[in-house]
Amino acid sequence: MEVAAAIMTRREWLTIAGSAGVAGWAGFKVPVEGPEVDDVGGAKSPVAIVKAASYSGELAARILEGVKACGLDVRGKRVVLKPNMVEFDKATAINTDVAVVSAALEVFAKLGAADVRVAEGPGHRRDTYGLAEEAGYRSMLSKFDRLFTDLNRDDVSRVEGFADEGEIYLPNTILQADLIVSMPKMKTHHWAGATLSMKNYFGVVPGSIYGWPKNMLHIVGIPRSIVELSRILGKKSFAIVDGIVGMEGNGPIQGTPKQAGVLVMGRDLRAVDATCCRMMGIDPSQVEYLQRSGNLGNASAGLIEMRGESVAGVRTDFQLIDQFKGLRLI
Amino acid sequence: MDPLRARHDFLRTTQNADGGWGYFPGKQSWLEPTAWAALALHGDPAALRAWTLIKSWQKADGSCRPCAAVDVPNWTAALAVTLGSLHRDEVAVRRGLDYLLSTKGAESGTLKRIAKFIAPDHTDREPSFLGWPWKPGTSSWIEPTAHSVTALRLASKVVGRQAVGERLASAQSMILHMRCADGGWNYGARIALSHPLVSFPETTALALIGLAGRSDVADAVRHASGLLSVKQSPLSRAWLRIALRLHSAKPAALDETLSGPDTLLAALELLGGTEDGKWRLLLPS
Repeated sequence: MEVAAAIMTRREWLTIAGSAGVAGWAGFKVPVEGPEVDDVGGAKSPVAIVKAASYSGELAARILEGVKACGLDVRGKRVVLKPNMVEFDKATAINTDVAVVSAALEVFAKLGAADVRVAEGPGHRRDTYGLAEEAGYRSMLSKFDRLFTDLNRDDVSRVEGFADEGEIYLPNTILQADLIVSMPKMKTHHWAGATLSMKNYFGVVPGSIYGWPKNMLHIVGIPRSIVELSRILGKKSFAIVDGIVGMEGNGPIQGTPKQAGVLVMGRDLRAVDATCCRMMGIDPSQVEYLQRSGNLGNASAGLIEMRGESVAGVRTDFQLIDQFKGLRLI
Repeated sequence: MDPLRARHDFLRTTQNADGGWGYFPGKQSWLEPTAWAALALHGDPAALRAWTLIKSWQKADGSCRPCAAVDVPNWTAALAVTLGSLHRDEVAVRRGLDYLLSTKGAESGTLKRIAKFIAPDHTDREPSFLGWPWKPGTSSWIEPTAHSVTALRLASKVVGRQAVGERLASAQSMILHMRCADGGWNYGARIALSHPLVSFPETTALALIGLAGRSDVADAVRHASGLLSVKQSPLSRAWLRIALRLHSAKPAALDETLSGPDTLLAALELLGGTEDGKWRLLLPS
């Protein structure tokens, strides 16, 4: 998240603190999320890539194809669609396109979900409904006000265990859902390398408690917070990544639109994110939050079962800022 | 129906049994919508019930629960001090003031100052300016700083603290320092990786609320007036009206129908909807 420029992550601080000879004073604690491992292993994680050239095509059919390919059963479930809405700039592509959300609503209702809601808690804008208006959500999603929950102002419940914080409060709409569909925009990120289905969960952290921006997540450390939120929510998650038009360069706000023409789906968020990275020309083994989340899913190509398109068939390298040139997949 | 009457009736009929308001009707009471609704209804018995609830959430150290279910001290303590000051509750105000004066952004801590010295370009923050964080242990940002400035100003009228003046000046310096190149404010970051960030209307208004009483921000007030003259969301308009009135500008009165069951929005619209509204309670003098 761009506002991390105003603070420092634990890792950044340790770098500076170490150079000042005060690393011990900084009091680094052993992470609670477990040791770094490569992958969970076991059965391969299915990930579906489907082509979608534009937002005006038959998106519902494409999403249905991917959902079925991943063997997802939503019958009788309370489903929450969690798009990525941050800021709005008509000159670029920051937010999950509303057409993808609209199509997903149609698909999950058709597949027999008991309830399908849309929920988001923007990290920068207090004015969620104003942002939803600008981003076209209010005009394009019928009955938006009835379907939508502002996660920044939802009632909350306490969840034990979040990094060194000991606890985190999360929105009841999220905690009570049977299935959360993380629907990020496929973007590069100038602090995390890439922002995909796992990072998208920053939006569930309520601003009413933690503010705008959700600075606590930066203080904990962006990669670590990504892992912790995914640890809490990942088991009841599904991902639909809007990679029809993504963002490259100085994402997630100030980058450039990048036509990639795909939707990427799967139940294992780590596998989905690793696949997106490969598609974007990013080496997932070099992305810190994927390194740290080995106990949450599979990222190795050999442990991901591709359904639909192959990565090689849709790979389109996203431009990387200088700080992340080392992430380029050879 | 008269737009103000619609907000008034909405707030009167959506108050929870505990005296508070949820962000939306039927939801649990939260300090933030409760405080703004209480300000908008100041003088009404409903506002007194709201203050009683908020006071019960204040802890011995002056911090507050943001709602009954959440035990995390955060930025809403400032709203409690503002409300306590209007109710002239000296004990609650002193306690809250102590908490606010002991709280500052993490960027002002010793380690961060050293870090700034070692790597001055790492952040556009000026660690000598003391703003307020959303949550203790994190950095300071525009909105919690603006609310805390308002709280300190009103609290000083009740308990008269010498230390308040210095802290107010420092906090306002922080707000001025974080102004974006486009003339407004966002949440509180001017640049990211050397690229200028844009401002937002609602945070521009909040920054100006924190700068109320200053005579050297006329250009920022003009900028905010310009924002209100073009299409904005109801929430942005509501914040902008309050901010402009606090700076003696005279925006048009609220003439919109209630856009939805949003307690915070209705309270802000009622508070700053007209020239003779309760926004005057927030005036620095």
